Amino acid sequence: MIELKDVSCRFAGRVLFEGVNLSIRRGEIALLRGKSGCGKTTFLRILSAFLDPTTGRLELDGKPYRSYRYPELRSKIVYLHQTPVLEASKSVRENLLAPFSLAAHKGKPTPKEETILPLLAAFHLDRSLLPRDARELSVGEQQRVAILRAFLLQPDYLLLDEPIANLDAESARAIRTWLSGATLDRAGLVISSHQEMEDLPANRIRRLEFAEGSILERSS
Amino acid sequence: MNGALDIGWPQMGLCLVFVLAAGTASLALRLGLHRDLLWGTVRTFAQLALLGLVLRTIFELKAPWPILGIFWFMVFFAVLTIRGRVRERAVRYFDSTFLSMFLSYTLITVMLTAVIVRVDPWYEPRYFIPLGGMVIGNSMNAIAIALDRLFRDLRTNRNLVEMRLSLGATWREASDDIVRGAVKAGMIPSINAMMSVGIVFIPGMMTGQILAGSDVLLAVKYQMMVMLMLVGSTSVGSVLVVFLVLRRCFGRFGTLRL
Repeated sequence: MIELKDVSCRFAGRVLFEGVNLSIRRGEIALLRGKSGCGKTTFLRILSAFLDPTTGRLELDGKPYRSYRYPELRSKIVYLHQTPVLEASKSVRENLLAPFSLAAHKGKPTPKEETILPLLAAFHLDRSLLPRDARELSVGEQQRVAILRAFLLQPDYLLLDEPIANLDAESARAIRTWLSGATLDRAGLVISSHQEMEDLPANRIRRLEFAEGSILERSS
Repeated sequence: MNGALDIGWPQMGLCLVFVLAAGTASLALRLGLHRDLLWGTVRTFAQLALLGLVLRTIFELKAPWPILGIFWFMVFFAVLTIRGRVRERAVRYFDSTFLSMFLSYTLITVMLTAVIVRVDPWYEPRYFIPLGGMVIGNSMNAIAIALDRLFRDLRTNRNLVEMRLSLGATWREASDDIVRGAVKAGMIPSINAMMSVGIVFIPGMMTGQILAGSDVLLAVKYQMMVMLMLVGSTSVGSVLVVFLVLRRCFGRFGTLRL
């Protein structure tokens, strides 16, 4: 469980949010809503320890963030940027497997072809993309590969910043369908999105609304 | 021949013809360089005259500490020059650059004078200061290139580095290729110099020795030593400084400070 205790964030004298107390459990889907510039990305960056809150503290599974070594923390909480970033001049396959050579994932078995292929299909990605240079893919395909790469690591929490913004309809649908699937039911998802994320399972969704310096939980 | 021929002061004045040629080109092509040329000429005369006076005094010194003190000052000035060229404000790197340059270059220069040239005593200023100066001068360029490349690449590849961090990479893992690129950029000029030395150019030190009447073979040996020493010192300098400074580019949770 990720817990936020009295978390506030101010930038250049402006209060983005203040006194936030909430917890996000594995299996839940937290949808962040709010106007552009209201602090959704900042919130995700605080959750993934890329930013320190101005005040307050965060805990993961009952232990303060500070007590973790950061690669260990980030192997449990994976944050994906709005723009997909893949390793240039590496193939899609190499991109998917690259994180398994990092020290933080030592001991995790490298996924085999039979694990990867059904996931590619679930993302509406053709298997012929695997040997191709990641730069040759469309933005929509890159975004799906980036999410798939994060998912292969089996993180406890997946934080997605505008995962379907600027994507073609097919890519957006593939991502929404996959997010609503049962494959992710053990991970906690935190998603910021301008667009409606229809199809997501209603029983797991929590809506967090950013407004006037606070984050309010809304019943759907 | 015993020593180089003297150049008379009227002949030295005649050298200004070269600057006049450059100044004419600047005016004719509206390059706007004539002020810099004038200031550069004045500084060349003043700085070298001052150096001559200082060197005369230094060469009389008979104890290691003042020599090391001068060496300390030379490194300090080199780091100031690096700071002026790199212009990075977000990361503190002056102290670690200074410390690694001073320690490694003192060691390299002592090795040159004490072990290779076998000067007695090892701090004999006639050897220690010019050889040390060459180590510092060349490495200063290498380190400036390496640091500039490191900061620039970390900035331009910010999203890539953050992506790697967010997938669980350590700061070392997240910047591995960027570090290699920076160290390589620092090392390449001295390797290129080894390729072209003697064919494309005759190095300044060798020219100086030959003009001063030294045996050509001896001048060649000295130059060989200098070339090898430079490739070593620019590599050691680039690697040490880049790795020490790299840690400062990342915050407590491995976040990029740039």
